[in-house]
Amino acid sequence: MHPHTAHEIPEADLLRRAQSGNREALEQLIMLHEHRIFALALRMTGNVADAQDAVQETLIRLHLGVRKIDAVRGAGPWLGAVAVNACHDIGRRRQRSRLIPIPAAAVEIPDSMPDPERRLSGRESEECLRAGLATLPEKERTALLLREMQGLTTAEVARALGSSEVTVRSQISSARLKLRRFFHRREEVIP
Amino acid sequence: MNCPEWEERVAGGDPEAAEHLRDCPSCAALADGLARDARLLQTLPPEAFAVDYAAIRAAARKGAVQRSRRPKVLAVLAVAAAVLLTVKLPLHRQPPAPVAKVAVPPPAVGVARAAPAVSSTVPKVQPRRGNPRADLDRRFADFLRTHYELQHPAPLRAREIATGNPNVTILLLQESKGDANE
Repeated sequence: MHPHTAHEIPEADLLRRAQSGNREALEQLIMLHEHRIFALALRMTGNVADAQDAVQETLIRLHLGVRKIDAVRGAGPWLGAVAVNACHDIGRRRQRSRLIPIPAAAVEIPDSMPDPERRLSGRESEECLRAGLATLPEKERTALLLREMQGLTTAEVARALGSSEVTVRSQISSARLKLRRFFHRREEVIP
Repeated sequence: MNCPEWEERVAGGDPEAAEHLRDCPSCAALADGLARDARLLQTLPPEAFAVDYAAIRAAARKGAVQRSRRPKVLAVLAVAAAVLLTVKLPLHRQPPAPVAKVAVPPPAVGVARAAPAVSSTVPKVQPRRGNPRADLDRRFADFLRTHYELQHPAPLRAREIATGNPNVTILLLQESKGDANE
């Protein structure tokens, strides 16, 4: 059950009202998307604290730039692109500070982890998924998450990443295969 | 996964791969696996429902307000900096460096054209009278002395040390600490 009531109002209405300065509508729009933004950030950064920071940064940018959102496409693609940029900024700051290891490498899974969907559910399958995502190059992971989680088109992903559609299509395809091979190897470990 | 030539096309969602999937069990299994992975990616993680979103929303509201004010503060600072620079820059300008003029020996007898006359002396740099920077320094020294003595009972002595640059004066502030000769 979703804890919020924002679903009762169509997102397009909320966005239109938020863009005209209605703060309550903006809050409801945020509540509609915050879970997914957090999930995206968590899978990008690999840890909860960084994901929360990324969500906060994304929401700040939403407050300041809600009028820039294309009302036809909705807030999801815009928020996804902004969240990914926020995650990259956090990653760069972390690399500069050199205080904490790179988050993607921090996700550890036991050798005997089985297939995520057949054997596991909830937290375990999420950890397995994150471990698989952590094996992907950053650009491939970003492209895959924007496409699969936020529903961005190839063109939108390309625009968000400052890349070409051909490159993004290749990155997404490669990421899907690598992730599948990762799970396939896990299936072979525990048949 | 024994059909590498089709794997990328299947993963890329190539519509032409649909026919191949009917004849190739390996690629069909791959397509099934990819579909499972996509569903898993679309499923939100359990952590997503355990976060204090109200706190994040409040922090974001505050952050947005602060950030929207930042350009105004920066603009004010920029104007202040511009005003300071406009006021200060002329005071920091150095007098033009003296041009050393080299004495040229008189032309030898028989030379048709005479060399132009030049001064054989290097002009001395004279300190400017009523130097605004020096006045400012003195006023600043007076202010320091007054302000410092208000807070510190020990008498304070200021000594001005001239430098080669007439616009630069070093102020040496010394506490006497009871010894008038120090």
